[in-house]
Amino acid sequence: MLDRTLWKSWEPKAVFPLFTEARTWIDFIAQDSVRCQSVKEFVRPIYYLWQRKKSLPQVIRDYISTVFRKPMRLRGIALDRKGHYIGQWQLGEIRHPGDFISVEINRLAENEGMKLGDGVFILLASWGQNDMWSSSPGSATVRYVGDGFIGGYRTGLFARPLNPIHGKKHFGFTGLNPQIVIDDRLVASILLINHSSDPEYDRIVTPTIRLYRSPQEYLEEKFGEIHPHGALERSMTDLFPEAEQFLASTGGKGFTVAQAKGVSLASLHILRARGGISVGIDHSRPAFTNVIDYLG
Amino acid sequence: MTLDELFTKYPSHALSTQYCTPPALAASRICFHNFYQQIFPDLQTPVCLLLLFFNEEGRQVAAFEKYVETADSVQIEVADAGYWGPGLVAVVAVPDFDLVRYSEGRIKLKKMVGTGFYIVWHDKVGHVDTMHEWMPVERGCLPERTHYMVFDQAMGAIARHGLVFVNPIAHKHGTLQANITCYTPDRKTLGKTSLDPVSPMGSRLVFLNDLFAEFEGWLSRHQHVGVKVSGCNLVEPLTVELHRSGDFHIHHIN
Repeated sequence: MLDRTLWKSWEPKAVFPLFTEARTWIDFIAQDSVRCQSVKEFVRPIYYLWQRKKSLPQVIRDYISTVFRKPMRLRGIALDRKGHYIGQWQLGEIRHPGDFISVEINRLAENEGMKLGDGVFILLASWGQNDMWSSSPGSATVRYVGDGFIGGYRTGLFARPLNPIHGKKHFGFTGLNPQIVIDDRLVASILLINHSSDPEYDRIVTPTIRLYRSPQEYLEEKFGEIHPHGALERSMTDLFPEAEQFLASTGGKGFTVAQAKGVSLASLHILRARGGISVGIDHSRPAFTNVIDYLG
Repeated sequence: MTLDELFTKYPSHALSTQYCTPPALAASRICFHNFYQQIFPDLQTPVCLLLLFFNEEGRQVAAFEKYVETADSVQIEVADAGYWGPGLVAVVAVPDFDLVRYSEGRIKLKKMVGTGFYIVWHDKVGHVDTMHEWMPVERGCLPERTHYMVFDQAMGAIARHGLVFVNPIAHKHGTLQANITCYTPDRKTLGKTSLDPVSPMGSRLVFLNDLFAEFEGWLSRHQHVGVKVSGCNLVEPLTVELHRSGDFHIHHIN
């Protein structure tokens, strides 16, 4: 559990893992959408208030940011993989399209005598766009750079309710990963983050995961405990000691389905080269949203 | 199967795209899970996965189809599907079941049903990167747009910085034309240039030090360089970073 004042529910945020073996750079650059561009966009908060999807205080905040053209301030909070607080930093502010911040997280910590290992970094913005989840006007980039490798991904910041301690529980998490490979060069792993919009969130989650070589043939294991605001990475060979043999008939390729009831998790697919010469990483994308019109 | 045939036969299905890298950089692998079983868990949901390949000039050069059983998953090397790259791949999973009937009383279908997939770029040594699907094929032209991105020197670890301009626009007037401007963190312009046009359904990998001879010097001096790209028929490009070790990193902006 974190201090309840660490962030506010209306602050858009994104959560990134930190890795011991890499130095981590984070940047954010404002796109044209950092400025309200149409009447439709301007009236959106009122529409969401009418739809009861945003509260009155949230809508007032939206209009203060829009009308007074307040700068978007960015800050970051580092936690360890069990969700324990390490430190926080102001990262800068942006006002106009094309303004950017770019910081090396490890250097920020080292400047204060701290050394970051495996952990979690929460990037927060002081406000977002006039949409339902106050999304960021642009994406944050995370770059992981080691002596011999580079990896990373980009994602937006959002102020949506995730695993709130009060109110309706999430229906559950299902993560599909069709990129599983175990061969002489690569080993796939999965990293799950037990995120929450509420700093006081305190639920430990233990998902289950199945490794498939066909829709009928699978191995099943507990993924392991993920602490609130924490993260856990498990490689296929770590989760399933017999995985290499199990996937031998499919050329080392397979897929996984990870599930947890009553909780929302962030999921990252990772491909690591044996010998540590490379890492490929990206956030998963919910497949359902390609088919189902949730907002209609 | 061509794009026009797909548009006619499956008007309510969108094709998602991705970039297949030049083979000298990496091979490309498409990874797809038949997610329909998650939506309709008690029903049979086989699909036909269709892949159309376009070379850098936007000409369709290969097509491939793979039947994917209910709840199954496939990993397809694009070279095995008939094209080595570089260029765009457009992907659609066409249900071999009555999606509209299955949906009745269960879900509200999107007007344009999309296909989620992942791509893995990998070389023989073990360098690897991955990304989810990217922009859908557009049937009309796009008005002028601007996109911004940041490049970082990462203490000299990154040897080359580039962009992949993808143009998933299937319209005869959909040629991508872009202007590129580099600037400092305090918004001073460092250099400007224009990109040679990219044909509809075409793509192009460009390295910034080929466009701007001083680019690496700018990065050394300023640590970070902002890049502004503006133009017609311009979707968000991908960034490319090559580590001094030979590893690579490719990703979308936004």
